[in-house]
Order: sequence, then C-alpha cells, then structure tokens
Amino acid sequence: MQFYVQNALGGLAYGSLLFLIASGLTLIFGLMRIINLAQTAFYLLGAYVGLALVAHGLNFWVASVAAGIVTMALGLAVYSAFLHRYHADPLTSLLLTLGFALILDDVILATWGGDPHSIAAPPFLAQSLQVGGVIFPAYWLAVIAISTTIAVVLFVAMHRTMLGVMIRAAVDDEEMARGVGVDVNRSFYIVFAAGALVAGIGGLLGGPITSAYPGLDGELTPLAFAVVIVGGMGSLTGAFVGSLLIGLVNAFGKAMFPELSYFTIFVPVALIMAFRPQGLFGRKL
Amino acid sequence: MNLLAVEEIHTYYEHSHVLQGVSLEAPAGAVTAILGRNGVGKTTLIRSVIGFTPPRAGSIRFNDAAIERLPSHAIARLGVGLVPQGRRIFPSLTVQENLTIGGVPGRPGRWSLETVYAMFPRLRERAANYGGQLSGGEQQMVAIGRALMSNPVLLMMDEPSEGLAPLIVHELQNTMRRLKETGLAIVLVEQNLPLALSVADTAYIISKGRVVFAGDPEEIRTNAQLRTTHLGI
Repeated sequence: MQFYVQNALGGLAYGSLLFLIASGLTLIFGLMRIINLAQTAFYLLGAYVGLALVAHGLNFWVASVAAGIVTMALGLAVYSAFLHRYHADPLTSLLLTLGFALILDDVILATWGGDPHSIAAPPFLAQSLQVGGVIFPAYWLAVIAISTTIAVVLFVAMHRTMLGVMIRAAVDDEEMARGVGVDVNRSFYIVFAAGALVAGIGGLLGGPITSAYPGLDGELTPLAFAVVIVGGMGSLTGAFVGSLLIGLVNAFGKAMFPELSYFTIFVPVALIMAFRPQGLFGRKL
Repeated sequence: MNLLAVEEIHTYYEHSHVLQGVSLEAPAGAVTAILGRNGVGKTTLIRSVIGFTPPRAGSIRFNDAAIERLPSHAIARLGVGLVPQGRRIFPSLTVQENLTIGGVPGRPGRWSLETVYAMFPRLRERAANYGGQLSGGEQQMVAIGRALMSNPVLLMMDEPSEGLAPLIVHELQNTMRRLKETGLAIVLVEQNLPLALSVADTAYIISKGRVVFAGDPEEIRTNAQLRTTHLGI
C-alpha cells in the first residue's frame, strides 16, 4: 500500500511539472503548427534564472515568477524575430526551435557550468510529511496544487474569455477565424508568450524535484511529447490528463521495471497512436 | 455608387490561373448573384474578396477603399460578412461563442446576439450546444448569424443552399429576402438557379475564370441558350 501511495504522489507531482511544459507545447502546436522543441529549454532556463535570483536573496515564489517573465521575454523575442514567419510550416519551425534549444543549452552551460545544481524547496515546505505509513515531501503536494491552479487559470482563460474563444476558433479553422475578423497573429504572440511563461515558471518550481543540470531539457522533451500525443494536440484538458497519466506511468514504471522505464512510457503512446491517433481529448485527425 | 468593385483580378492557386481578369460590381442594398458551373472560379472570387486567396493582379475596392492587399481580418472588420462554402462552423465553440466571435467591437448596428436569436429562435435553444453537434440547417443559421454579428454592409454567401433539405432552402430564401429588406447588400454564389434568380437584382455568369454574362437575371430565366452553354441546364 505504502509503495502505491508513495509512487502515485510522486507521479502526480512529476506529472504536474510536465503539464507546465506540455500545456504550452500542445497549444502552440494546435494553434500555429509549430513544434516547439525549445519548450523544455525554456523550462531549464527558468530553473537557472530562478536559482540565480534566489541566490541574490529573492523569495522562491517571486523568483519563480520573475524567471518565467525573463523566459517569456526571450520566447517573444525568438518568436517575433524568427518563428512568426514559419507558422504552418512545421519542418522549418521545427529546425528553428531545435536550433534555439541547442543555443540555449550552450548558453546555460557556459553561464552556469556543467555541474548539477540542486534546488531547495522553501523552508516551510522542506520537511517530509508522514500520513499513515507513507512518507513523502510536503513540496510534492505544493507542486500538485500550484500546477492544478495554473491549469484552472489557463482553462478559464480558454473557455470563459473572448481571447480564449478566438484561440479555440483559430485552432479549429484558422482561415475562417480570420474571415470573421479575428486577428489570429495577435493570438499567436499571446499563446507563444504564455507557453514560455508557464514553462519558465515551472523551471524553478520543479527544481526541488528535478534539480537543474545541462541535458535535463533533453530528458524532458520526449516525456512532454508523450503527454501531447496521449492528451491530443491542441487540447488543454488533454495536456492536463496526459501529464498526470505520463507522470504516474513514469513513476510506477521506474519503480517496478527500472530497466524498462522508457518502454513503459512509450507503450501507452504507441497504443494511443495505433488506436486513437487524435489522442484522448484531441479532435479527429 | 458601387459598394464592391472588383476590377480585372487574376487569382491563382499555386500555378493554376483560376480567375483570369474578372470584374464585378455589387451595388449597395442589392443582391448580386454569381452563377456558373462547378470549378469555374466562383468560390475563388469570394476567397479573393475576403483575402483568403488575394489576387496577384487587379484591384478590389470596398466602400471606395482598396482592400486587395489587406489581411482577411481587416477586410471582415470593414463590414464584409462571409457565409462560406461548407459553412465552416467552429466545432469546438458553442453556438453562442460561434456567434459572439463574429462581433466586431466598434461596429454597432442592428445585429446583436439578441436580434440574431430573434431571427433564428432555434439558435437560442441550441446556444450551449457545440458547433459539431448541429444539423445542416442549424449550421447555416449559425453561419449567417455569425456573419451578421459584425453588422456588415456586404454579406457574401457561398453556396448557402448546398446540402439543405428543400424546406430549409425555402426558409433560407425568406431569410435572404428579409436581409435584403434591411438594406444589406448580398453577393450570392449559388448552384440552385431558381433560388438565385428569385432573389437576385443582377446576375453574373462565370465560365473558365472569366465573366461571360452580366445583367438582368430575367435574361437568364428566358434565354435557354445562355443557360445550356454556361450553366449546363
């Protein structure tokens, strides 16, 4: 019992972090047909910038948001200088974002070095909780709560605001959205910026769980893509459910069949692609 | 004065030269029908005006302003409403969202959610349903309502009767007449000749990317040779 609860909590916490990356990935792809390979690099940049801010005495939460804003600014610069010309051109944009991911990786390596940086949770969340026979870090619960809150905010923005209506319309039929007067290009900027912001905020938030080291982004990318495939491209609900699923499968897979950990993640991905290629919540392809 | 003046436009899909110098005028407050067989460029003409497939040459003036280089959303906001071929309702938006997205802030007028619902009471009942769950007739109401929400001065309707039951087509005819009475100008692309001729003030026939007839719809009704040559009827 203890084994299951512990891994379930760990999996949900990890999945919550994946959501912060995958939500942007899926919306950016659904809206602009851009496969943003730099999305996990944004996460890693957020972690390092946040860490630097904390080292300068900034509060952990403030640093996390500030790092998100720095990441968003970078994302917007990359988007407006290069990417916006290549929406609906998946190959070119894929290569561009891969290039930026590599550049970002090297900048991070040059700035912060190759050693892993462990990141401490805020003191009041640093202890472990013991409930029944289960012991787990209190920070796990905080990450699950924060990520769920961000998911709710994004969901409300998508379903209860005019901007969200416009974005969903453009995901459905971009040309027709333009034809009824929607400035779709403006939505592109907003969605790309929001994706970078959330991933950047996630970097420091996830730090106490993933820590920060060069190459972390490369490890997260396949997981984030697994989430998008399982949940369905362009679906926020899908990204949330998919993140928790992949988080759980990842946790239990690593605990039960450590030598097969990648296999256990990509079994559900393969099944989805074979039997429901649009993903759990995606529209029919 | 003409509300819409299309002059000598040439529009291509990749290397395919679809519109080969088409000119057309649509006066304010009147219904202009565009007729022709399948694949002669009628939808391409609509797509050229709304900016989906801008012409490579020629000019399009709306309300005396050149619009052929404007992006689609700017053209729509000037007062060009589009009821596209296939209706293209947003499936993941509710009926109400499909309508509100058509609204343009700063373009007040007779049309609002309330007046659209008054015209199509069925849509009020379906307000919370998603676009993907509607019947063909309901979709057509949403498509028309969505276009009206911007309070357009020109409504472009591309094959509105396509795929609709005869009874619904009859309702559509009434709708178009009521819209015309409000002073709205309509450009109507239609395969259903009786429907088009019953509402049109002027008619154009397009064949192979060129205008081959422009004039009184009555002439199409009476001239059998014109119909057989260019409409295949």
